[in-house]
Amino acid sequence: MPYDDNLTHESVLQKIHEAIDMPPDIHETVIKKYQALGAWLDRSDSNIKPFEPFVAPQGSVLLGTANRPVGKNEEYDVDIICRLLTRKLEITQSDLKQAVGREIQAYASAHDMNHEPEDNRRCWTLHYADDHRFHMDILPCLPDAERYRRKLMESGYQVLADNSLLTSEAIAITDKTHPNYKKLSDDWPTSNPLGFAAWFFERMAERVLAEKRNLVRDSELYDKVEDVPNHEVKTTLQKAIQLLKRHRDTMFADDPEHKPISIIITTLAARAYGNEASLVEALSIILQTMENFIEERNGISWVANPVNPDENFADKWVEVPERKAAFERWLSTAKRDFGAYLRGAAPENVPQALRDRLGEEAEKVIHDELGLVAAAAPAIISGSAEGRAEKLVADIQSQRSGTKPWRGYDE
Amino acid sequence: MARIRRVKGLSHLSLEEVEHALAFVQPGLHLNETPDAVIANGEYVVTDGPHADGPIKCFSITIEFPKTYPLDEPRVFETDGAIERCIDRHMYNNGRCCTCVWEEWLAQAKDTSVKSFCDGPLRDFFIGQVIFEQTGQWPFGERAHGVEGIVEAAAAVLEREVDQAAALSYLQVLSAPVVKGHWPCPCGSNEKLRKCCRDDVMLLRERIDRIDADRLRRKLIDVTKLETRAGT
Repeated sequence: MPYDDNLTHESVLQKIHEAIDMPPDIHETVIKKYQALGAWLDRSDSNIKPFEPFVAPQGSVLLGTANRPVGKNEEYDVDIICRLLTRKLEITQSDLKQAVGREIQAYASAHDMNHEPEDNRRCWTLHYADDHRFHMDILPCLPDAERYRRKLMESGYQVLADNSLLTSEAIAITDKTHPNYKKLSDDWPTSNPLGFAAWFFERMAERVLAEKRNLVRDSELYDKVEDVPNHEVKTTLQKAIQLLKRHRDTMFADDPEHKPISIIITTLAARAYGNEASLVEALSIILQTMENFIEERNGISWVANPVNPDENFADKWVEVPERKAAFERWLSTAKRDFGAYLRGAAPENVPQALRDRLGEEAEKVIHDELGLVAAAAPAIISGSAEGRAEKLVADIQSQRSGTKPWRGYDE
Repeated sequence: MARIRRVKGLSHLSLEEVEHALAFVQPGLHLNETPDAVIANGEYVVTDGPHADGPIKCFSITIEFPKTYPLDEPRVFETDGAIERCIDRHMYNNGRCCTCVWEEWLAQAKDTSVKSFCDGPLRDFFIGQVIFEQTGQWPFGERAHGVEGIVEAAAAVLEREVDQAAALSYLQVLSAPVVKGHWPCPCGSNEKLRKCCRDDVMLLRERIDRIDADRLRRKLIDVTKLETRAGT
């Protein structure tokens, strides 16, 4: 049985993260596929070429928080935007959706794709051949920064409105259920996925820079930090989010309806994050403080979109209180599962509950590579315990005076 | 100073608050709820965080957090007999752990939430037990048993040396809604307050919450009665 003397909680979690992360080859394929689609939409006889179509990833692929799907038949879910340079008063939502849709349908038939693209509420879904194991949700949209900023200013978010990094990529999107879907109107649903990503990268900027420096130092691939693209490095925030998402996916495998949504986990985790260098520390701080960033607004739980604070990512919790309860249940379980490992066990004793919830690949890592056994019971007392307890006392005394025990009269 | 105000009759501890405080740091403690209390039961870990050897030590414990927390004190029990039930280990015969003079902690702590209790007196008690087992010493010191310990606690809160009578006098003056200048000075000088330590007393009243002073005063009286009854 392989045994590593230098095994730490950190190294075990890093290995598990590697096992659940979207592999680099899939990431490359994803980039090639959406670039190919972008080239198709911009080809000379494309109907939408005059609108200079621009495609870019959004969501977990852009944020670097995409996991391998759970289960053999599951697919990667890749989200991209498809932005056309036009104005809301020149085209209806419906016409924009169909204009993009016709080209996507043409792409699917030109590439002999088995499934017709699906016309969903806001996006088109393109199904790739089975061996790629992914589908692409393409969100037709147009630029809408001006109106987005105006709305932010009207709501009193002047500083945010003036931050072009966070607002200049705001978009207007189409929605079949919107009252103006088929009307020429200035009133479209808005979104700002690239602004959110800019906020997310800002939250972990210190670690991104540190990781890029490490990469330049350790590999021959890049000469300087500025040349390293974001997706080449991964911070402890991204890894922590991936572990938490995997934990959620297994916990809600049989109850997808109430599964806490990724954007809530991502936002709260990013707010709680303090650019911790180790994954263990990042996870500890995130798990212990993420719920402090759920606001209460007039009695409603509010997970504010950081780039549009009037938008509540937890708006569904009002209509479906079970969702809120499910989030709380998930967070408590995650705290207990990770806490049992990080606080209650030696590195080689990954508790069974955590093993189960980190999924098959993680189990394989633990079993095959690390040769670990499930924790029967945490270690009771060890040789180094004396020094450790004394150090703990010193740590407490450096912050406050410790509590003195006192006995009164028997009960 | 940021203090969490305690208003009598309004506190009502929820299971969620206890879960929030304990789930990650003490994942082996499981919660249930009775009409009067939130009960945490299971394995308590003494640890300095992730370590190659796992936690320093584990204890089997039960904590009863009354719904009236923090007005009423949580009761902590060691359930496995791992700590000798004797006065020198600050244990009652029924396994109850004497974590602290509760009223002293309330008066001194900036934050009296469940989390603060768990990170403070609860943690200190079990680390203290580990160290005591190894060295026979209490790392943060200990309070004398019975009334003497309450007087020590009062002295710590008042930040001055006091005997039992002086502790009671000070606490009486500090717990009164208003102070009258003709009262005897609590310092024991037999002078009227206005001619003696008035300024000092007014500063003490600013620093020490009246409710906290009153609770410590009542504790001193109650323990004195118990001690007299026990004939010690």
